[in-house]
Amino acid sequence: MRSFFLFIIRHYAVFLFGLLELISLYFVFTYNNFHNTFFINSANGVSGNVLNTYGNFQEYFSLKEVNDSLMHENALLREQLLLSAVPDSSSVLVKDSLGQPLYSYIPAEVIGNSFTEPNNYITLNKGSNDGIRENMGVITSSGIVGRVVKVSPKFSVVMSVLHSQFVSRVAVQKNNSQGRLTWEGKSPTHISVIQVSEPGTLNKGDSVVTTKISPMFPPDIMVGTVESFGKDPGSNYYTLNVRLSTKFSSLQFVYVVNELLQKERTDLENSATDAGN
Amino acid sequence: MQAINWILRLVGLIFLILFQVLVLNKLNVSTYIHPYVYPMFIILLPFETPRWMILPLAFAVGFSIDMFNNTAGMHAAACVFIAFARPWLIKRYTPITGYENVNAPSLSELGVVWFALFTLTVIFIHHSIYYFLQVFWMNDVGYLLLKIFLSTLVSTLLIVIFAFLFAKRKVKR
Repeated sequence: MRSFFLFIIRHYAVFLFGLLELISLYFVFTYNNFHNTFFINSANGVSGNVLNTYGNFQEYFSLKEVNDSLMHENALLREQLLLSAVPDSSSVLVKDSLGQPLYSYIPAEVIGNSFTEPNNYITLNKGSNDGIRENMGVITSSGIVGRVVKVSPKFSVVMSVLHSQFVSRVAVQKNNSQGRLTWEGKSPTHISVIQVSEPGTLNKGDSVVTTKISPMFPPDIMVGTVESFGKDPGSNYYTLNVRLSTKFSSLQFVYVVNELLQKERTDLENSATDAGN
Repeated sequence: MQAINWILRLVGLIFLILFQVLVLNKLNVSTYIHPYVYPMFIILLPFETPRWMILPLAFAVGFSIDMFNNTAGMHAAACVFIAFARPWLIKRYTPITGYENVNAPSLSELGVVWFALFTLTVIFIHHSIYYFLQVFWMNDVGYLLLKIFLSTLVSTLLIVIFAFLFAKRKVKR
């Protein structure tokens, strides 16, 4: 026993090395699985505050562009307002039949953003104090951004669409043929839509949008435009190569989507699967 | 003197981390090139730093970068490995004259070639581990190797430039 302890003491460096490596690898392989707020992420106090302070400085240098994009968005919204005055089926998408709104939006600012890593995250300057919860969708005026995965009182971390584990169902707008979004991990401007069955006649430039099936985004939010497509060898599925409409390299303001009836919907879906078992 | 040295090192570390997180991480040249200069802190530690100190220190440095990048443990794993391998590398790279009167890797005292080679090796190990952990799920060896290779070159270049700036200031004093 004594020689055993002496052995450990003599080679303490190897054991210390092994221990620290094991701790690191444990974090690597469990990080994406925990969905409770944990301290190793950019939503915590120190790193969140550093990023936020820096973001405040940086904001001044892009005021003009931000103004332009807000003007543009205002114009778009004004257009929709005029359209919604006419009884039109498109307004059903935003409200349910009783006129109760289905979605509300929480505006937030991007204070941390990566898009060249194989798994990308975005840090926002708002958190649970502002009503953000995990699994909420995040969009901009130009398209989808990601899904909230971690929340602290003042900050939140969003799993970007540019992430290996980001999943969402999307559809080609003109004929509603659906597929699954997956990012290959290389180009921050392109994404693949896989397992599209019978896409009909597709053209380059067709819009790909979110569907009602994906619970975190409102339907018909832009994903991107089809750039090329092809049939997978040995199956009946097609894969689309889509150019993203969101510019991840210059994200600044985003909207977190709060689906107001989400609880009712997920409860119902869960009770249905429970009943089925 | 020792204490002042360590305070300077820690101040340097804070600058390195801030530079890494606020400047380099926002610089997006290409998906193949993402340099990391913060391992410079581990490279520059004195030769005699005991292992019980360098290993937890490297873990803490890597972990703080992980917190900003949401990479949970990947930088920590890479840093602990280079801290563990460092003594062997230092032995392996002993100059013909030995390390007389030199107590830490330095560009001014051991020369550009020695410093660049040592940095290149350490950074290569660090980037290999880090990018392997980042990218192995993609099953794309060519992409992984190219990314390691290009990022290692850029990181090494940046660290050598930093070392030059630091060395100059020392000479002036």
